[in-house]
Amino acid sequence: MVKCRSFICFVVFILVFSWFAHACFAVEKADAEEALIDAENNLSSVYVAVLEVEKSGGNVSDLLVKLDSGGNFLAEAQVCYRNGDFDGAVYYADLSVRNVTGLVEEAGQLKALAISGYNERLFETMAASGVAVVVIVLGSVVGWLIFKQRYFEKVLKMKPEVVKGES
Amino acid sequence: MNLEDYRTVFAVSGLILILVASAPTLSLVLPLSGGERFSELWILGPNHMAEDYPFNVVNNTVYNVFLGIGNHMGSSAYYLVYVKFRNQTEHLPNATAGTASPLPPLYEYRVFLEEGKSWETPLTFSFSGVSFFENRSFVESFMVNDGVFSVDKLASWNGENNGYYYQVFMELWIHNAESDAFEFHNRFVGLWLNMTGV
Repeated sequence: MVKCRSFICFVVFILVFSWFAHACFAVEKADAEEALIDAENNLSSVYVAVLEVEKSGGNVSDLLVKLDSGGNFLAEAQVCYRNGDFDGAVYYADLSVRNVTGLVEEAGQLKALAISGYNERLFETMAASGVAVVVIVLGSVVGWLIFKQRYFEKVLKMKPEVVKGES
Repeated sequence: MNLEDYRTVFAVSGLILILVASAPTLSLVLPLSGGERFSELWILGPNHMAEDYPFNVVNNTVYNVFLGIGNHMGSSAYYLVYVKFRNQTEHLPNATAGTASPLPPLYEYRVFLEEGKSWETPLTFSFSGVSFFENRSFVESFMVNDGVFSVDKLASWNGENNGYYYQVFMELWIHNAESDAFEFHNRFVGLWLNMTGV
């Protein structure tokens, strides 16, 4: 009899627990929305950082691959949310955030590298162009002077020709 | 040619050579404007060709197509593709006004693409809860990949084209970094589907 009572109590406890556990641990719609907004903002900020790296001339292929996986998780989260699966929405939104965590810093480092590389390249190219321009200017002046001298010598060696019929 | 003419030839040649020598530096400093900027959006049939698209569809049968995007925007782009489902009376995007369809999206893809690159993915869809009554057909659920969506769409009999017509279509949206929001990119592709049986 005692065993039977305790068994009934146990069953009732399990039923009550499962009823309230759902209420206690279930993710609300608002939580899911917040997680989705967080993930969306995170992806956007990383994307903006990636664009900055690209503008600076950096290679963004690796960053885009990581961003893409974050984007896939966010898309999955949105699909879960539309289906009313708020737990799934929060789970995938968190995965999206985790996938892109640290990418802004990585993008910052890549940008700094790209800028220093650009400056180095610009300096080398400007130096090479400057030397080439100086050589061209000096070469032109020297060439012109030599040409002018030869031209005058040639003119001075010329003899006047007398053409018939002219006075 | 007199000496003045020769001097002009020397000066012009010198200037041309100076421009050629400074071209590498100018190309680094002055941004060159690229060509026309655009994005591509396409659907291919199950054999990866622009043929054999699903048309006559039935209940509980899976159909396969391929969806693709190409980026020619001059820089990396963040795309969002919405998959939507409509009957003949519901609105498509308005290409003239550049506005998206007011229908809610069911499924979506988010794609980050480098300039000049393309992306493609298989897309499967199917229907369940299809029924027919009084010259109407009814679709209860529409499945895209692993997502199941309750759509409850009615389509009336189309006497002109002999069928119950629905359309699955995809809208392309692009992220604007300045406004930090997605904008409809005025590109969409769709498949007409004739619901033929349960």
